[in-house]
Amino acid sequence: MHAVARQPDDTAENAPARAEDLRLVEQFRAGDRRAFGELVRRWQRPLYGLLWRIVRNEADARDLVQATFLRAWTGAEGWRGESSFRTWVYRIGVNLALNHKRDRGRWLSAAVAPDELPTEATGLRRLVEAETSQRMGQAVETLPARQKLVVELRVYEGLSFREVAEVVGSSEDAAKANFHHAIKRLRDVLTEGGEA
Amino acid sequence: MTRVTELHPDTGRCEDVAELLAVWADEGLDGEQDRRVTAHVRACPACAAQVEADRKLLNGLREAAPVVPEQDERFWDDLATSLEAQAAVVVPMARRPSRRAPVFAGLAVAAAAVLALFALRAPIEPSMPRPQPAAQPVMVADAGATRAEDPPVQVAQPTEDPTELIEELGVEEIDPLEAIDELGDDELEALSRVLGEGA
Repeated sequence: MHAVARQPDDTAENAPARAEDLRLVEQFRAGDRRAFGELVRRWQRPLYGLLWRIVRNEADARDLVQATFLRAWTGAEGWRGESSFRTWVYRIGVNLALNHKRDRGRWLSAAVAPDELPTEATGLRRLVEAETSQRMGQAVETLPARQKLVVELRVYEGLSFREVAEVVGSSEDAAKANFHHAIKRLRDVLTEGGEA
Repeated sequence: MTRVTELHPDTGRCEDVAELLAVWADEGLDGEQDRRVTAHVRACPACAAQVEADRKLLNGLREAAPVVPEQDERFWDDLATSLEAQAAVVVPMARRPSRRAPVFAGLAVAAAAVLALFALRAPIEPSMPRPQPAAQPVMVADAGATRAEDPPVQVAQPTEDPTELIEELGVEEIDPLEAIDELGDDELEALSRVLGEGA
């Protein structure tokens, strides 16, 4: 298990990717369908990861990726380039995923399932790591929905706070405030549970 | 944890930066906010300790991030290919090339007017039942007009905005001109006859 790489807040480093997205969207708007296929190939993997983390089901995540891109396809005229194409698609996907979870009525726990825990004597260190991961995941699940989404987008997906705000549909300051309250709450929950 | 202190007059009080510490710990600040928190943390051991604890927590969260199941290349190729096939069917209306000569424009406008007339006169039957607003108890100020247990009277609005209705029903708005554009020659001839009879 390795840490999720966090992207720097300096959006200048993301400028080439954004410029390429913009070029492809313009090509698509001019009638080039292949440009949309290229956009799909550029973003389907990170989008799948984001949506899987929300729904925790591979088939559902795959279906949601399809639904997201189709929604983007039919609504590409609505993207004005004010946000990045990535955050625009992420926002569509997050809304679809949250609706999907609401409709299914299943808020799956992020905790490690019992059958995913080590069943053999794999060493104290791995057991401690598994327990820590489980408790971290459970703590994240206790967060209010918006705070949880902000933490997932920032910590797991590596988005800048500006990008988090674009996906969540809030101001950047509001995204930072949600992050602050989420971290404070996680600290309290984990401290109560014995995590320093 | 918010601390009020006067120990750092040059860098602000702890409570002034408390809500920014976790963001700063995650390298999420820039500009004046970053300079302000940096100066304060350097001068305040308590806030520095808070930042260190937040960093430890954030590292732990990243280490414990749910691992997305890995998929092979075929999965991604199939997904992209499937999307391209579906997108070829679900062509955005704005992108559909016009295949008709301008001579059809007048016919299309007339047909759009007829369709709009039918749409306004025919009863609308949404596939899903439209949500009815729950009866709201009347506020004290209104108690003289209606009893609290009486549901509000639903008054039909004769000039209901079709655009809002389309949005409420989740139905994609259709451009009549584009819809006409999609008709076959036989359908256009039939429509011409209908319009001619109606004139």
